[in-house]
Amino acid sequence: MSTQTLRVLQEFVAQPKTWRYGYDLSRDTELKAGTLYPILMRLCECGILESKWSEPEGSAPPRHMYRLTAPGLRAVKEALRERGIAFREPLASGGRA
Amino acid sequence: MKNAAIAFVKIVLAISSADSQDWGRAMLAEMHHLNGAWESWRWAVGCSAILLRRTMISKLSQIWHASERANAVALVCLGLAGLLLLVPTFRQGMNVALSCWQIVSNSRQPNYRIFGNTWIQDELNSVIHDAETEHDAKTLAFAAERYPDASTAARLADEAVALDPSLTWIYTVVANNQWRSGNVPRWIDQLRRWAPDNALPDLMAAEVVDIRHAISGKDWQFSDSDWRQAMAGAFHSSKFDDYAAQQLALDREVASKRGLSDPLLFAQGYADGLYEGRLPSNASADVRLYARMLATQGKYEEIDRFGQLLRAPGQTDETMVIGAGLGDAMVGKNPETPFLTPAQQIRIRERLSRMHSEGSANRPRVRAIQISGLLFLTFTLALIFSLGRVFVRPSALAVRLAAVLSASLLASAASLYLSYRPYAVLFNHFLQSGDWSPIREFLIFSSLRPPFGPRVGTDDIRMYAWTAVITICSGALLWIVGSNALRRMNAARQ
Repeated sequence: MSTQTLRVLQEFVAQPKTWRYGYDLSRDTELKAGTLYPILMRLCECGILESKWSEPEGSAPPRHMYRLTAPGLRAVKEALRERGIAFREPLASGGRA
Repeated sequence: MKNAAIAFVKIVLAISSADSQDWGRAMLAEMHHLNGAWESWRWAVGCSAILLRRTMISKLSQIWHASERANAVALVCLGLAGLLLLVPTFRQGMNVALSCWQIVSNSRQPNYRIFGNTWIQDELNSVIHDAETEHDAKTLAFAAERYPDASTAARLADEAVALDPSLTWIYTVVANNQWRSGNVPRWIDQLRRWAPDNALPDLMAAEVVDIRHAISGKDWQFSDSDWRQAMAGAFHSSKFDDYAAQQLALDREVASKRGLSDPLLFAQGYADGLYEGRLPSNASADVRLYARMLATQGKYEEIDRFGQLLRAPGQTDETMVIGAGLGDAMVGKNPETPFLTPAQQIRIRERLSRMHSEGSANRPRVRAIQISGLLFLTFTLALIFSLGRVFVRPSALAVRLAAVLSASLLASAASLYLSYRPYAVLFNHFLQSGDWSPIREFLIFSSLRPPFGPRVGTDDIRMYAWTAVITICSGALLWIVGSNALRRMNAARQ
């Protein structure tokens, strides 16, 4: 697992039930689109992340959102612990969408 | 700027594969929430790279699954052809094979190459740069012999002679490409001072007069006193040296020192007759006419004496040919004496035959090389089109056609390599041993007309237009026939 992938997963683990947008993730992880999206694609393909389209807001087109699946969350926590990587446990449940 | 970045991603998305569309729209949607043009463009470039990469992988996968066996054949053939491209002899063969076609494009000398420095002039410039830095007179003389631009060739020759006066003979070579130049009379004076007993500078002086009258268009009947004086000087000389031996020694020395081994570079500047004596083009006519003038005055001894110079051991074939012209002037002499020995007469006949037959003995092999080179280029172009078709619309048929073209490409490359290799061996032998006779092949090669198409260089645009039409139609016909054949094979198999 690459450093960039771990950084993305840490972001998701911190807010596991929150749907996240690509641009927000890019800003929070400081990863460029060219690095972030291939990671998101792989994580979605192997079932760690789930995705859905948001409802359109005004003239802007619907956005793609991502969050950890339940099995994905367990697997990621385990992987992070195995590597001795500290991660922030969620304070409260809930989601943006 | 932001809208331009969005439009750019939309275009990339439009040409992306179906399985990239969802992700493409996801990345595009985020762009509406970015701030600033710079950030938008960074995002756009990143997204486009991902989309294009995914599309490429998707296409390659489709192509591979369209016909795995055809793909394997194409890859093996292209790999082998690629390996051949790494062989220097093959690249050299390709350059030489295509040199004949440049004659059609109105080029006096083939000077364009596919591999290496594209223009031979570029390679000469590089050699000249080194030689000038190192004050290397011989390399400057080597470049002067070949440089296509007359004023540069003159400058190089002057530099070489200034550094090493024993190279003064180089003026006899350089003058051959620029008789109208104001430098020539100065060179002739220098040559006369450097080698006062040689007849060649006088023949050069006669040539200058010939050219002057040819330009004026007046019928001068060789009555010009300058011409008569020059010819008298030539006939009274005690030596005839065309400096072919010096030229050969110089070229070999420079080739060895600078690591030059391209036959096209050596042949550059020499339509034919490399190391066969570069005499003024009117020398033969001048000598014959002056000999007839002497014969009418009964001065056979002068003719005979000059003839002895021309047939002295070690003279080149070119000089022998000129000498043969003197035989006519001796006809009136009583008793007549054979001007040339039978062996010399045979040598001259062979030389004349070679000049007019364009190397008929070697023509089949030369043709094989020329046609292989042309086919190699044709198959390469056809394969590029074919691969484009495969990428745009992958299908088993398109992939099989590409495989057939790849195999044809490999066959033409192998044919070119095998037919050219003996020439490369001969040329390397010449560089090592100094035996130049086999490299006549190369000169015949570069001046041999193409096997079909126009026979002479022309500026007539209609010729090129028709050649293009015929080539395109032939290509289209080949494509249709090939496609139909493959389609039938495909149908029969199913």
